[in-house]
Amino acid sequence: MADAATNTPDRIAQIHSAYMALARRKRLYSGLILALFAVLFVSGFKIAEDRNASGFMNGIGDIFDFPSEVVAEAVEKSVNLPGHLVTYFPALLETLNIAAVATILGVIVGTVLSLLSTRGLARFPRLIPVFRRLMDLMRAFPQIVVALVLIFTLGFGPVPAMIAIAIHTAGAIGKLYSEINENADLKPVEGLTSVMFSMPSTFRASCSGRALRTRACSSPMPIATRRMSPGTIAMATSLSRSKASATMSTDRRRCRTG
Amino acid sequence: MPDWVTLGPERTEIDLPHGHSVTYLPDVVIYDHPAHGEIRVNRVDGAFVAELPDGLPEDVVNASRNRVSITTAAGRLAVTRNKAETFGYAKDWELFFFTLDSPYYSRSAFEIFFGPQNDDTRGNIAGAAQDFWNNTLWRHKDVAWAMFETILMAFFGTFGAAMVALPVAFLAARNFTPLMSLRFFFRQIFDFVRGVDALIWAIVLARAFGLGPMTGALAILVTDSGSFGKIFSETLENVDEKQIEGIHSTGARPLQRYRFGVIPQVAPVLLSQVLYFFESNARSATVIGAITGGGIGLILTQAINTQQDWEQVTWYIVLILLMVIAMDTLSGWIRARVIKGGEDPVL
Repeated sequence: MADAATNTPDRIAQIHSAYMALARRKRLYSGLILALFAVLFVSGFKIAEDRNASGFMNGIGDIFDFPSEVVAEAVEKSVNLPGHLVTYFPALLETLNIAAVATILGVIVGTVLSLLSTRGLARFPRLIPVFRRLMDLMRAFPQIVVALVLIFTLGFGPVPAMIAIAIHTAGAIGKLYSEINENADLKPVEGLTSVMFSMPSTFRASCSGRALRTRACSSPMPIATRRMSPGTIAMATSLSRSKASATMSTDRRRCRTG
Repeated sequence: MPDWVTLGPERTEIDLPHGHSVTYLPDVVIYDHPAHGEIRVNRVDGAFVAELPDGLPEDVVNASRNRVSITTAAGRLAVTRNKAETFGYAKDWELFFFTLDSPYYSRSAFEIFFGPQNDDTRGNIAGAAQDFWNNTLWRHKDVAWAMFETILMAFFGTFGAAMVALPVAFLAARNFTPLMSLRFFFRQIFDFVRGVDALIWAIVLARAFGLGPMTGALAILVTDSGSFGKIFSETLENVDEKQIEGIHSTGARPLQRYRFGVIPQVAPVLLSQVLYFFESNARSATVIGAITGGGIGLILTQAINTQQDWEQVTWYIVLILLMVIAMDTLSGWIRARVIKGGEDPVL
């Protein structure tokens, strides 16, 4: 008893100092990472400021110049608004149409790709890595690049935008579905293949019911359109058509020298 | 000079494959097309006038006052005020490393590293590096800067947005702001800045800040503070109250309660969300850069717009792909380290 009584404060002190040492080290590491981040952030700000046409402080007051001009002009010419609405309503529908067709195409291709790249379900198990890398590439290509290249080959119109979005959607959906399919229970699949069901009917009979519910929840539309809506793509492509970016770059050079 | 070029005092002749040839004379450049005849580009009072033979396909010559370019299967010729340039095609890395005026042109790597000194003023390796970096045709220096600018825009925009959104997210979370009207107000602000696309913000901000990476970064910052505000406030609504109560029972003030009761709970989740947005923004920074005049996006759209050949476009696309893949890998690695065994948020 006496032994324990004399030891207790010692042990508490030991535990306390060990804990404090651990906490100090952790704080040191977090502090270092935070300092590194701060240095990167501040130097990044400086570089971006140097390479920009006008500085952050110069421009901060003028932020609302453009929106206020736009709104003022819109108010001034608000009489024309119903007419514009009628004129551009088809374009609005076209945008929705692009989104819908691109999503459907993307889901169809993505489903096929996901089946080809799911462990346990794939038709050609050895080619799984090939299909996975293919989907990585489909997702990695910026949509605007695909759209711009397709515009030169297919001409200006909704079709290049649609294909560009569909490619990205197929890559994203393929990855998402193959992960869901991998989590599906494979026992029914084994049962069906053991009685010589073919691959598509095996999938339909065993997985699709369960996986479909998960898929409906995972809603492909927002994924395809979250970062880049079809409207933006159409806008960006038309902007580059009108060589806005080229004139902008000359303006920037002028701003820098002048 | 390559052997298909014959230099003269007044007259320079360039032989292209399949019987095509180009002749430079003072004030006139002649492209000899074996199937269609001579295309003469004359300079009259500072403007260019192209004389085209009959029956020439439309896409061969692209002429304006200041520039005439001729593109055929054998090569291409571009005449501008300063110079006339003729390119033949080669199945190789011709001119990618060194241009014709560099002393290291057509030398092998072995010759550069171990061979005799090519240039009196510079060492071989330093000189070769300099000539490669300043290659006027492939512009390696500008491209490297552009890639850096793109990543910088994504970095500055994403992390700046996270810093803006974190304090405001507390004001939009139900359990930290009981006052409904205040909460509603901040939610509406988030929805507004998020609802307007980053490209629109880029155009709006370009008016205030001019063109360059700062504008692109701020466009990403504005849009993503809306997205982060929404996600962060939803994460904050799901924190465990017990930990905050525990801190409260020790007599901590509100700020301390947030620092020690809330932040440790949500930090890994928030960090993984921020990193996910970072890799996604590295992709969209390419596009925003094309509009705001910064980064690899601008260089890419310029290359597409000049309607020359596609070798440089291909090169930039390959670079963008490599960048995106590298960013994905890097942020995936950090994310896995930050939340060990945690689930990857699918946003």
